[in-house]
Amino acid sequence: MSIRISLENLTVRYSASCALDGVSLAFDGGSIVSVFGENGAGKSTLLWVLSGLLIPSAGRRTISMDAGRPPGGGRLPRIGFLAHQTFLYEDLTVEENLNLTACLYGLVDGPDHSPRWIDRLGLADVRRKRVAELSRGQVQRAALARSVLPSPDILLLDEPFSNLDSAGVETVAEMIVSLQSLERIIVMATHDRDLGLRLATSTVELAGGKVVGR
Amino acid sequence: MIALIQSELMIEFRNPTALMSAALFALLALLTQSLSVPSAASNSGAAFAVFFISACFAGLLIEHERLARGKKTALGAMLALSPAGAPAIFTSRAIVGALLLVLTEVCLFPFLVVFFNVPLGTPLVSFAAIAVCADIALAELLTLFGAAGGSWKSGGSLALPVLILPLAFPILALSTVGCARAFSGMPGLPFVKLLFASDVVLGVAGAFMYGKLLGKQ
Repeated sequence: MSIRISLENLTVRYSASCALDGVSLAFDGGSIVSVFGENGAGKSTLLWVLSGLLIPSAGRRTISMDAGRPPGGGRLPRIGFLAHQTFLYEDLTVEENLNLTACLYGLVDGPDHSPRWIDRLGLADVRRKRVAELSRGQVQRAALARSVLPSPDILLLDEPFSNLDSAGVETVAEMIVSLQSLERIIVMATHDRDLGLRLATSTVELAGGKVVGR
Repeated sequence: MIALIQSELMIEFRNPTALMSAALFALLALLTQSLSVPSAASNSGAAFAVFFISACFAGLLIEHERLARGKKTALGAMLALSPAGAPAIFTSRAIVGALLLVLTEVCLFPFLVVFFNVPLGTPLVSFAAIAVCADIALAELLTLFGAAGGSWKSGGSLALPVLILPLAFPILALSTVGCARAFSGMPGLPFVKLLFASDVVLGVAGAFMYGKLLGKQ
C-alpha cells in the first residue's frame, strides 16, 4: 500500500444545515470507491473535503504516503478533481488548458503530455476550439482530461458520466479502470448505481450527510 | 509563472470586454471632468487625480470581470489544487493586472494631454515611473483582495471596492501629488521611491497571504 486517506469523525456544517455528519472512512491505494446517495446526501461535499479545498467544521482528514515512494509527486500528493465546475479557462482552447495544467503541475514534458489524453478522450477534433464553444459533453471530457493529466495520486470524480453519450460513458469507464493503481485512490460520486458498482472495488452510501452503508 | 501570465493575457485579448469597458469608463471620467470643470484643465493636480482614480476604477472593472470568469468555473480551486506555489500564482496574476492597467493608461494618456494641457517633456519620465509603480501596487491589491472576494468559500459576499478603496487611497494620493509636483518642476523621485516601497510591501504581503485566500493547503 502506498497511499491512504483517513477521515475521522468528519463534520461539515453550512449556516443552517449539516452537509456531513460524523463521517469516518478510510481509502487505500488501488481502490476505486463509488459514493452513492440522493441529491444533498453530501457526496460532493465529501469530495471537496477529500481534495483539501474545503476545511471541515470538525474532524480530521489525513493522507499518508509511503516513505519510499518514487519521485513524480514529491511528498505532497497530487490531487486530480473533476467537480461540477470545470476548472477550465473558457476562453482558452482545450489544448491550451491542458498545456497550462501540465505547466502548473511541472510535468517534465510539459505540453507534450496532453496529446495522449486529448486522443484518448475523443477530443482530437476540438482540441483547438475554445472551451466556451464546446458542447457540455465535450466540456466534461476536457475537464476529465484536465483532472487526470497530472497522474494524480488521488483522483476525485464528481458525476464523471454526466452529459456524456453512451460511447463517452464507456470511454470514461475504461479510463477509470485503466487508472487503477496501488499508488492511486479513485473516489467517484455518481447517481449511476449500475456503472458505479461495476467499476468500484468498494462503495459508500451517504444519506443526510451520514454513512449509511458500505 | 510564464505559462499563467501568457494564458491570462491571451484570455483578456480574446475577450476584451473588460479591457474595453475599463478604458471607456476611464476616458468618460476624464472627458466629463475636463468639460464640466473647465478650470481643471489648468490644474495638473486635478488632472492627475482624475487620471489615477479613473485608472483605479478601470482596474476594479477588469478584476470584477476576471472574478466572474474565475467563479463560473472555479479557477481559484484549480490553481489552489496545483502544486504551483502561491507566491508564483500571485505574482503572475498581479503582473497581468498591472499590464492591463498600464495598457488602459496608455490609451488615456493622449486625452490627458489634449484635454488637460499636460505638457510633453522631461517630467514624463517621472510620470511614467509613478504610473507604473502605482499600477503595480493597485494590481497587487486587486489580485490579493480579488482572491478574498472571489473565493468560492466566501460566496462572493465580500465587496471588492469596499475592501480595495481604503488601501488604494494612499497610492492614489501619492501618485497624484507626485505627478503634480513633477510637472511643476519639483523632483518626482521621492514619490517613485515611496510607491516602489508600497509595491515591495504589498508584493511580500500578497505572496504570504495569497495561498490562504486561495484555499491552498
